[in-house]
Amino acid sequence: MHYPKPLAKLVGELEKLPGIGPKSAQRMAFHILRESDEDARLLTEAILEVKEKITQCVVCFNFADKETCDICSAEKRDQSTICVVSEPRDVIAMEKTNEYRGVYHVLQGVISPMDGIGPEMLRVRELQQRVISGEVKEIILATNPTIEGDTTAMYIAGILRPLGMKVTRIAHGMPVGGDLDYADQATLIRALEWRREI
Amino acid sequence: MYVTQLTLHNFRNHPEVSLSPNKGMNVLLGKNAQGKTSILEAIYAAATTRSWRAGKDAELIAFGQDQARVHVEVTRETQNDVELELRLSATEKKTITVNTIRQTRVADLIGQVKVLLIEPEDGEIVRGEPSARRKFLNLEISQIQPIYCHLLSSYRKVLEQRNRILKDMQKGLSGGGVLDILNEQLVTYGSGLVHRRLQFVQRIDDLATEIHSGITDGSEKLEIRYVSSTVLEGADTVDEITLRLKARMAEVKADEIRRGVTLVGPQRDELTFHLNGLDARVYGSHGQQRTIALSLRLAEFAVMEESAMEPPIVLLDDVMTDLDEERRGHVLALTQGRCQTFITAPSDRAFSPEMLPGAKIYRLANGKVTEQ
Repeated sequence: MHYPKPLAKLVGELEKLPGIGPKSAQRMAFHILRESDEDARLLTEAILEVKEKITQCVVCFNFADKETCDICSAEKRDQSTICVVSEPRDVIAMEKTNEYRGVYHVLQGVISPMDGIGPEMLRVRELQQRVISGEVKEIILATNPTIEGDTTAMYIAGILRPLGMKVTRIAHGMPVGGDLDYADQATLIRALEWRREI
Repeated sequence: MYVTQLTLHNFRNHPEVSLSPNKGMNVLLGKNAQGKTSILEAIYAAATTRSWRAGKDAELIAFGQDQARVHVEVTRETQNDVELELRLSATEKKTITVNTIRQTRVADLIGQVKVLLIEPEDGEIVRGEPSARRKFLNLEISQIQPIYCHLLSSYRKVLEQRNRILKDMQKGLSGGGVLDILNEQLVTYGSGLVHRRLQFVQRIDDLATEIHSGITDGSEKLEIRYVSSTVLEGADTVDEITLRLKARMAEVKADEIRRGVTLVGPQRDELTFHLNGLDARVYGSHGQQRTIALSLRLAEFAVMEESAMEPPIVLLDDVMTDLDEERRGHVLALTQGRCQTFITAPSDRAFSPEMLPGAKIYRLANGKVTEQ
């Protein structure tokens, strides 16, 4: 490498980030080098703070900065409806709708034997506990419509149904405002399967 | 349907070729290694996303080049005209566009333009490994029913997961709960595949038996059967097939765990060809096997024509030297005047005089294609 050692170290660390190749890492490192000490300090602080302060909500396993996240501790939210998602970013997507008033449960992955991920490595037991100990009326399974997402949803449905729970799966189909013309066949086939009367 | 414009760029040994083929017969003449078959291969690859004879896509790119391109414009009678473009790169993933819109899945492209290939190695379908027959089923049904291609790719993903969990269970790890779910998913996609295969084989069997009898002057009775480890007799609905697969899966469960692999489903099924009651794979002569494959292809032509309501584009590689005059006659009788045909041959001597007048003739020599 032609970089002085400390710079090489920074480039190397930045390259580890997802979506960052050697070129981008170099650009970012040069930028950091040029910016004010204050900005660089804010960046390092933000990184350290996020590692220090962000933990998992003890109820839903979403990211939180206290023991229970804001969603779980919001009294106005409907605690009897739980939307089950695989990743924290799915919570953010659902929250953007501003429509959903229930709470969440983040599994932190999907069942995939090929990647060595079984249900015991996800937050399934914790979900079961929530259902048994709480006043839950409906579970909405919102894992992705992929093979693994389906496997996970079916597995959880199998566990929760005996507990007398209403278990639903989010619908799959056409994107709103999309052209039929542009939809791929798999989506169209699913949309036909999940059609309903109007 | 027929190709109105075909362009090859750095494809095999063709740096740049542009043809405006005839609606009927197109004859490609030239000595060996002049790139006759490559022209057929280009049409085939644009329609199905891959070549039938190249192991890797990289083989299709001209030596020393990093990109190859095939552009095909096709007029269809029962649908809108379509333009396909296949781009192959030595360093990147191949891309396929349909009417300039990029397609990310094979299933969204396959079947847009239907092609039927008849070539010297077809006998392998009869005499080769079971995987050759499954490949035949998968490709040909995908061309007719694109949904088959979707089912197949979903099925393969579930199968991979399921084999993995069986391997884990073989080692003594628990996985029962997930296995049950994967069984459910496997059977859902698997029954769809098996159902479509059974329907296809039944139709092909009816047609091929008749065609084969015609070719052999009634001396050989051909029977094509779908063979499965699951008893499928009388199972003619998806629901019934689902039940049979589930029952079979329960039977072999212990065995599957012991061996760590899935033992039920379309990935283990295959076809048999019987001539006058004898298994042609074992007892058939080379020539008989070749003729069965020909009957199969001609039956397929009819099935494709039925489903698309117009005949496919027919690619005939080397049939003039590979097939005897009588068998050649059957092929040409079926295709001539009914569909667009591309046929390769070393010289025009093999053609009967009445065949050539309506045909467009291309001569290939020293990397150049000249229209006669």
